[in-house]
Amino acid sequence: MNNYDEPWLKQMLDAALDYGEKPASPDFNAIRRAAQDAPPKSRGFTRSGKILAAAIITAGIAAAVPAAFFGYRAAERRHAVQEENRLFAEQIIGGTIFDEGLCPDTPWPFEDAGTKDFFDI
Amino acid sequence: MNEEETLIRRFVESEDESAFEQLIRGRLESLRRIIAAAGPKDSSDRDDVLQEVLIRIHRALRGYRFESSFSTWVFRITRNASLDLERKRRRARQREFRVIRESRDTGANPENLAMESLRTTELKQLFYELDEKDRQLLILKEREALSTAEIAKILGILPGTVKSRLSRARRRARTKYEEFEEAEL
Repeated sequence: MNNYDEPWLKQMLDAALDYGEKPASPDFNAIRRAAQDAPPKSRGFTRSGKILAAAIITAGIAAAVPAAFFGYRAAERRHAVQEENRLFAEQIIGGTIFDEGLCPDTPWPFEDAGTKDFFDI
Repeated sequence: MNEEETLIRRFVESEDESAFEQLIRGRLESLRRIIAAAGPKDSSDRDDVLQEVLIRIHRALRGYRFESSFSTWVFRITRNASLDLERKRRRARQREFRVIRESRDTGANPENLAMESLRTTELKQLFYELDEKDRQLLILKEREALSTAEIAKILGILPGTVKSRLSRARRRARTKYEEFEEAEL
């Protein structure tokens, strides 16, 4: 099997392989025991699958908790602002604007209705 | 059904351990050469890796699907397992013997170093200066006399790549050898 056309290669491979040194006879009983004692082939995969699932769940929780918290706060703030706006609009439109003659339904031109300039309110 | 297939079926279906032993015994030297190309330079290390590799083959054999020849399959497992084990061993050794790293770089333990001739040691060193894939190519082609297609399957590369890479590996090895010879003179 050696390529004798290239003696330099034979020399190098012989040296690398310790001149065809024979392998020590393996302990087949130990091999059988070790193979039988070993975990089933699929266990590594199952284990990594479990680890992966746990990592995904953890990452999901890590992302969902702050998102829910900040989302809730943002919604509360939005409701508060909406409520404020509603009250403000009620106050302005229901009270001040109508009182001051700035009702949007007021017929144009304003001067005809004796309205004030908007910035004078 | 050829004899090899019969032995595999005997092992898988009847848990006949002697069939496994028969399957492996004839290939021990080839397996050890592939292990040598994968990294371990010291003969006792190679035997340790061989034992571990055989445990992996024993475990994996139940999953053998007869899609490629048994030799190709077993060589591929041997190479992958050897690389894996060699990485682990190297990491363990780096942790344990950081201080004496330099002496270990020559690749053999002190007793073996004393026993090997200087020329053999240096030629061996030249071989280990090649890439692992180049070493495997040279061993699989020159020593195992495998076909390009078989080598491609074992190394997980295209047959065309095997040819080009093999000629590059030969060239590199030859250059190293010639430089070594010139330095010797």
